[in-house]
Amino acid sequence: MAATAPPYDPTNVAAEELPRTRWWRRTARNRSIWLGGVLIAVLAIVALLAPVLAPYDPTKLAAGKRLSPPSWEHAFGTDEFGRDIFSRVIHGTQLTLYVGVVAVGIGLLAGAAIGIGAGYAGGWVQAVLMRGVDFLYTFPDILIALGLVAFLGPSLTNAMVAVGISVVPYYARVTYSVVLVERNKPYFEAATAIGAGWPRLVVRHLLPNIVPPLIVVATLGFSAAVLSAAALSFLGLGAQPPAPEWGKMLADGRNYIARAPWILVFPGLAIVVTVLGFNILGDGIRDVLDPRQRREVR
Amino acid sequence: MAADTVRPILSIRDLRVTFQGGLGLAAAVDGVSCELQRGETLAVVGESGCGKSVTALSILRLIPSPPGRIAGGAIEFDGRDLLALAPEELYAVRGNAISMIFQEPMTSLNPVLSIGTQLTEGLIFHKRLGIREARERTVEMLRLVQIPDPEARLAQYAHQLSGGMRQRVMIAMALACEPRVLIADEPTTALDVTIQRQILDLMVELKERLGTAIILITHDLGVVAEMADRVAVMYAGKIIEQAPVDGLFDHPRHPYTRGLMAALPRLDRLSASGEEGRLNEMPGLVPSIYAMPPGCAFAPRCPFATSQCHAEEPAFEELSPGHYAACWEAGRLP
Amino acid sequence: MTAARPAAGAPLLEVRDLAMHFPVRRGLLQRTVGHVRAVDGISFALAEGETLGLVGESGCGKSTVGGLILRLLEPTAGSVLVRGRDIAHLGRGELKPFRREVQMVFQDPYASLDPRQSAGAMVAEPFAIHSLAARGEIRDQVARLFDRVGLRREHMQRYPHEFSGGQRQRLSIARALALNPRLIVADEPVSALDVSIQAQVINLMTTLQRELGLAYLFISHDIAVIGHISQRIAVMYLGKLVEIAPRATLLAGPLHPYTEMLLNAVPIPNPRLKRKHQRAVASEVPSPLNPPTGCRFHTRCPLAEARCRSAEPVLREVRPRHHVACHLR
Repeated sequence: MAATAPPYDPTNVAAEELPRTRWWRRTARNRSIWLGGVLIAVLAIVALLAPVLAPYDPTKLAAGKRLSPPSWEHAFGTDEFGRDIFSRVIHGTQLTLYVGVVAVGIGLLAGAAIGIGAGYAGGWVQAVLMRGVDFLYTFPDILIALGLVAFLGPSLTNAMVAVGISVVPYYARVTYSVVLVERNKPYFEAATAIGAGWPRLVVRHLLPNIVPPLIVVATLGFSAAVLSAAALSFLGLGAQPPAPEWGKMLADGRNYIARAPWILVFPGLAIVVTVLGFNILGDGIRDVLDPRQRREVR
Repeated sequence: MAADTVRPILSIRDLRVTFQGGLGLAAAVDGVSCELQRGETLAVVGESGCGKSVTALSILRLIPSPPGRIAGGAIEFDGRDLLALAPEELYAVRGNAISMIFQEPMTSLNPVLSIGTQLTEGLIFHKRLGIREARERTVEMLRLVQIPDPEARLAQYAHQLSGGMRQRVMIAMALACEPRVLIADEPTTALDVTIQRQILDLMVELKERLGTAIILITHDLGVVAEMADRVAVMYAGKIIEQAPVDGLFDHPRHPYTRGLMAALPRLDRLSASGEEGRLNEMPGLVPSIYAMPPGCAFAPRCPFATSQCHAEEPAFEELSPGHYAACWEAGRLP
Repeated sequence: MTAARPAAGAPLLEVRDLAMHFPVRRGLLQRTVGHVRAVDGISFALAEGETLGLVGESGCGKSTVGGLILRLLEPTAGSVLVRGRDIAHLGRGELKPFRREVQMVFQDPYASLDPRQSAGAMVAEPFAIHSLAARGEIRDQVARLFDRVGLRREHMQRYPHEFSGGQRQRLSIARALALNPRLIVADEPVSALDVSIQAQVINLMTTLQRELGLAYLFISHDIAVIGHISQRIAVMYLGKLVEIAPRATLLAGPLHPYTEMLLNAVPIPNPRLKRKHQRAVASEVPSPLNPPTGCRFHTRCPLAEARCRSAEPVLREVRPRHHVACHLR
């Protein structure tokens, strides 16, 4: 191969040709996105098609014998009122996704706004906002949620709002710390030097850099929100009977753990699958969104 | 020079170090051989990623593993192959017969232990000294590296010292056990130029007094010119030129070495008035170790490359006594 | 006190008695216990198309000077005049036109580029902020800038981590050039780069200067690089300018003992020139929190006399265009 052209073009400044992929290629190749995405997609479909998929009315009493174990008629068995657990779990998907999304949404949006405001503005704004957040942070989330529901009145909607508000301090702190790290990086100064004003700095430079960690945090927070809402339901402050809410089902079934474990196992598994699905998906999203996660050639 | 009958104190033969990265297995050091004579300073020079630090770390087997692995070769010290030593035998060599100083003196010192504790540790471990003797010897060492008020320094912590003082402490620590070989990995890179001057002077002085052989890893040709007896130039995991310091600077034989020297802005060669000329540019970049070109690794950037260079790897040949280079065209260069 | 005004014409940039004192806060109540006097009253001027090298060791305040000139920091005292207009105390909105005149290239090409902005978007951003080009023209403008700094147009879609250090610095330069500035403040632009890449970037900067008539304030700790690129050199020590002179004058005949120490300290890549310099005694740079009285260099100065410890020397012109702050010269 004596006369062949050189393998590299020396006049090319960018001789270092890195394997380069676009975001959708990276998405397609990311196993976490696939796994998590499929899990969540299945859950979403189940939630949407619940009335079609469920063999029984989830609230119908004595659809079968009380506390009967899983069988052909009742795939997940029945509960202490003879309701079909399979149907209840399927309908519960709707409620749970709804609760999780709304609660995390409230917490994340309000928390991120506070965190960005405090982190970007600094000075007294930061002092006021963050001391307030610190004060709220000293109370357990569930206590705040309890107080709010007591004030708003017991209902699933109020429980969601209460859980959402109770986690605002958490998201505010996380956002604040991420913002502090990013805004002290030289690229932020560089953007200031070309004349970017604060709206551009926040929207074009800050947000894209803080969203990936927040997505990951939010997916983890999803499980906590679902569990908090369940706890409120258990205390009679959230989902009202006979709504088939998973947390409520767990709470109600706990007296039967020895006699009829399926009452707890299936709603519990449903929660595990949902939480896992969101976590895996969150990891995958972070990998794809964050170009820095990709290995660099040295 | 060629008929050096004295046995080298350290000899590296055909060292190969691989890293398992996201893009596969790659050789960061690929067949490096060199020798260090007693009392000699050998400078290993090259740009980032050329494998000079990996070579230095391999001597004491300090390569993080995984992802790194010493995949082949031998490092002979005192008639023993360091790569074949059992861990306990290796600990007895590290910091004792061979010691090392690093670039960043802040992170190389433990922030929660006093200077005194860290300095006496090695003496107690390697030389089996009592605490009192170890402290006396430590004070002596600190005085040797010209740290003012050495007794008071023993109780201080790393953050209480300036960068230059920390590097002095690191040198004192490295020399405390009277090593026969000192490996200095970019010892002055993190320091200001006036402080660098002090540390370089100190190293020259200590070398004269203690006769320690030094392997100096650096990217700075100025430091090489001042410190080295012999120089090895590395590029893309290989030594591509090796020569006595005067020979290398008077008549560099490898186009990479030439390019490197011509790329330097130099205070000693400034035109008396007006504009400076352009610096020599080497086009392109160092190849990624994951995508080495065939033939000579420098060929894609080399102004003298022929088709042979792109196809066949050049042999490392002795061109004049003690002066080796790996270049097909070395004999024909202008 | 306007030291070192260039020979002819109104200066593009003039700095007068500029000072930046950073408060040091301690304790629960964050009380101010002192000030780090990072920049402590410096004055100089810079003409169109000129390169002024600002050299000094870490902590001398040279980067702070850069930040002040770009108004990334608001000075404690003094003024920064761009074409005679003081920008030291302007509000954000009023600064916008000034941003088009003065731009910056940062030290760390790895951290000074937004990791989530593609190369093309990054260079296009100044056009959007300053409404300099119609939407359809921006791409062409960006492509032209890519050509100008030696980047490939195809790489506009890439993200910073997909470039090498040298390419990132080219990208940063392209972005600085977008606004067609007259002055670029370059803070250690080549310090993080390998020698061969450093040469590429320095050559690019000199070419651009010739083609576009740019002025540079080139800030570096590396006196060899400064010596290569600058027409005049200013030396800083602990927040003060100690010497400022045309390059050849300063390098051949430094007047301040600190400049001399600095020049002697640089290792020269010529083994036959192992100079017999007087061995430097171990000395440390004093803290800018508590600078020495009198001449700030007296604690390390081999020539220091009694008056150096008490009276602060003033920067004065001792020879034509050669200013030095030393009692002994």
